[in-house]
Amino acid sequence: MKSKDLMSILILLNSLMVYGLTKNFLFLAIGTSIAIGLNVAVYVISKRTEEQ
Amino acid sequence: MYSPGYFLFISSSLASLTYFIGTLIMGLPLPVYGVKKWGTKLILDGIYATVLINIYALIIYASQYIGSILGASWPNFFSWLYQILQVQITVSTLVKTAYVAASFSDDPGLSILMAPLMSLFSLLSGLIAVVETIIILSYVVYDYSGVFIAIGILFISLPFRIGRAIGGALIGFSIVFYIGLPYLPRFLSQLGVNILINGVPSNTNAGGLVNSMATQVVPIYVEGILVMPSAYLVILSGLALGLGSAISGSSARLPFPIEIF
Repeated sequence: MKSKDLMSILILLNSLMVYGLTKNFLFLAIGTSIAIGLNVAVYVISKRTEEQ
Repeated sequence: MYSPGYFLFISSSLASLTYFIGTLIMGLPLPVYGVKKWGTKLILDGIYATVLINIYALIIYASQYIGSILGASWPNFFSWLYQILQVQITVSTLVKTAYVAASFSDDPGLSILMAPLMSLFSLLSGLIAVVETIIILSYVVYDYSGVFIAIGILFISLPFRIGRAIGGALIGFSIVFYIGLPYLPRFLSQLGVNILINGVPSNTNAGGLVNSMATQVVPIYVEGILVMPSAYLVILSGLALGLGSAISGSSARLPFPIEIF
């Protein structure tokens, strides 16, 4: 399994759990954004590494 | 006091930051092995911290389950502590009453007992303070163990392994004391030093009271309230240190292979 996929799934699960504990929708939104942003950022960085 | 959910959200963000710093280091155009090695470490640390955040509820549930398997119950433990406190205050009041009676008496045979009665009273006051300390420690563990575990995960999530040791120690302390502290009455009963059985003096005249207090009650009290609970707390602290170092181990190993990119 690639680390970015695993990390994205884990962050999404974290966000769901934190949302369940705090009932604060903002935490779920931020967690989802981080998970999506992580995929994008790692994709860009990996492309850059390949180019090097 | 903040809720564990708030700490877990900050932990999740910090774990993401750790992961991102790791990927950033991996993407740096610097062909230095020492720097690149930190990138891999940080990525694995981020994943490890995120896994810990995910199993937070499982840790709490497992602690409660193991405690129930051992037969340890927090309500029974608090009831036992307050019974001990009640017995101690009863004995302390008895000793103080005997002291006051001896001080008002004109009999020199009774007056000579004032010094040992006073020293016994001081000793009993100290032992009451010990039980009060155990009660406060128990309330802290019972009420805040979930928050301590969340703070421990927060420390582990910090980048560059800054708070890994203290985070592991906090989690280890919370888990071990939450499971182990209510087992104290059974531990004492199995060693035969439960003071609820032999704690109250049977002889109520002044000379017999001093004799039974000095030869029977005080040794059992010192053993059952001071020595054995202290030894038990030291054992629990050792276990907590071991669990803490296992959680905050030098390498974050996951049970399946991971491709960094």
